[in-house]
Amino acid sequence: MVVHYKCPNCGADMAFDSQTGLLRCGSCGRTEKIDKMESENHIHQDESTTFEMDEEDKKASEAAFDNDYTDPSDADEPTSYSTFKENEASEYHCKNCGAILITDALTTATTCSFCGAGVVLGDRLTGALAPAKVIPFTISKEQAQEAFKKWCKKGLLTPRDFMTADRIKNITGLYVPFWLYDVNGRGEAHAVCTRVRTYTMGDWIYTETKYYDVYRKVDLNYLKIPFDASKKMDDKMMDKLEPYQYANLKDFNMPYLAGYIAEKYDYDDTQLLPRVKERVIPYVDSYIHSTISGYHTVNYQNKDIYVRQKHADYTLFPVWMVCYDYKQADHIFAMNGQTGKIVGKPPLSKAKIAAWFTGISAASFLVMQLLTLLFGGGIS
Amino acid sequence: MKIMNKVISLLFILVLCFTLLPVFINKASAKAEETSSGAVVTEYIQHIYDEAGLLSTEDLASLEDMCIEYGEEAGIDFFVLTHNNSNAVDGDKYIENFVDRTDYDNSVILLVDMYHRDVVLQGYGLAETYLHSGRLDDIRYEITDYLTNANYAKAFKIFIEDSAAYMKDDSDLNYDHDYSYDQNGNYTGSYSPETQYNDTTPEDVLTNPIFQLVTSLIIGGIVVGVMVYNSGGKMTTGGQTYLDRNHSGLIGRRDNYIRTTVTRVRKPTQNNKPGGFNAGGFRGGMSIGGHSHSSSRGKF
Repeated sequence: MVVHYKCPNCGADMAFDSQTGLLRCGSCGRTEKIDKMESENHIHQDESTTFEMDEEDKKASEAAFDNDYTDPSDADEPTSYSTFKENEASEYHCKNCGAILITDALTTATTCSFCGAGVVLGDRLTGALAPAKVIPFTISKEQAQEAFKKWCKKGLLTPRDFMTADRIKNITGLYVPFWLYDVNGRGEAHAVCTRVRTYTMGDWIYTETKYYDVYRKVDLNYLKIPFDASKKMDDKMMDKLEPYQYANLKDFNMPYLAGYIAEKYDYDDTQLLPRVKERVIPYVDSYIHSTISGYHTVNYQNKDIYVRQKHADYTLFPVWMVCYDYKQADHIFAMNGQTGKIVGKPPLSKAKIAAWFTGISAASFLVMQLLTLLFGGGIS
Repeated sequence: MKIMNKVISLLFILVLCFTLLPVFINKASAKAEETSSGAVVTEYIQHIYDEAGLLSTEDLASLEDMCIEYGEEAGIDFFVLTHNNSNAVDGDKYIENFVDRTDYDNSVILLVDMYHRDVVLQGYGLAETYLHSGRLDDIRYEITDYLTNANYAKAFKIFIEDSAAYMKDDSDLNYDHDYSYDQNGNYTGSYSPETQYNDTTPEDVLTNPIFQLVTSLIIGGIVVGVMVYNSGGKMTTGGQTYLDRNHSGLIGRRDNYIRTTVTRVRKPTQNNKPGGFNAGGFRGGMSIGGHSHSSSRGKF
């Protein structure tokens, strides 16, 4: 099922406009409000979903760890999930010109390579594959290009000819699939902490060490931590694109994708759970640590941290992918399509690195020499 | 740094000169009195400085007499110092300062520090040879019980009698007044590498150009390293960003006190190390004013 937005006024192709947040006809300028448009995707709540305890929950309940907490199943909303059906090798035709749309198995939105019309592959966005939320683009292609050029000029270690930023090969607006996790983190820790006081009496220096048995138990809830569910995207790069402003988080509707490329997720929410735990456990850990204050040393005897997924939303985030050709090598940069934050490894100039290194070293050496002169010369 | 040290020592000597000047003048005037009158007037020296008020007037008078009587016989001066001052310097130092101030060459001095419950004995000059730390220890052991039982007059009496008795005993004397050895016979004098190392203070290391150069290269390396690392953008979100503050927090806490331990170390002293040993294993030290002495100290 190919969804194609035609202007009811003049029949031209309509696409999402990042400036106004409306669907806009490039030809006559007619705009359509997206939230008012009929949603074509229906999320089917699967009644047969059961809440399954994962291994850590079991461990926690066996250890009577959960006694202080409310029953987890009260608050949790299981992810809506129905049987995944891979689409048979179906061919999509552009509704505008009839040409075959070149898509791969993951594409959910693209532009017709023939006539340029933005099309959405509706059947790849329904059921389990229906995104719950979307953050629409707020930065247009032109703005993205400008922002990228500006960013290149700011690079302190990038080569001079890179800074001109005139070799942008292509710039693509991409809706990257993310899972937004609501996570519950529970932890308890036992620690032996000390307070140290030194004082002098007579000719002796006394060191008084007071030992405390410290115990902390925390119940933490984290909302909407994003994890990219696309195999193609570099996880680290996507993490660095954060933060996104959730005030602009909208219920998903297909017209948002018109004119952009979109893909469906490679990993579902359970497959990403190990990554979630890897990231959230240190959060809980540092929170526990922040509650232990007023001590000079903290020595943990034991620490138990359980991280549990409460809920996950399939969400599409806007990303501008910039492919830059520098000395016959492609450099890929990603820009947060909402805030304009740019990440990606730029080429580095060895000469500039060397210059900075000598400059900073020489400056600090000079400062030290000056201090020596001031203090050494001032007293003696 | 070396110039600074020199300036400090010069200042110190100046201050010392000014503090000692009145003592010399007093002595000189006393001697002048003696010659002018023609008669032998015994120069009055106070022997008991009972700042802690441990002695009655009678005891004080009889002990003063004893000091003069035994002192003439033994050829040294006996001094008893007491105080109950929490701010006073450490016992060894206290006596050293007393000697530096008064310049009594041949003397044995007993200090009773009521505040710290310290008893310290030191022998100077002739008394250093005769009343070496071993003998001072013996005297101290004998009087400690009396001090503990607050029988101060008796304790001081025994101190004077015993000291005088030892002055007549010519066996087993200690002529070695260089206490730059520790108990194992290792030389710890001014030529030891340890002392030389102490001469190089941390500030000397900081002003060393090679050290500074290495440090600045490290700083440069770290800064550029961080710049390179962050050139591709950095993570700006953390646990705080996504924490739901209304539904998060501590649900259990305990801070139970278990125990206290106290350790103590002696304050590092600059000029002399009290309790140094000489080749014979005798303790002793040197006052700032350059008076070498034997010593013994303990608690009561």
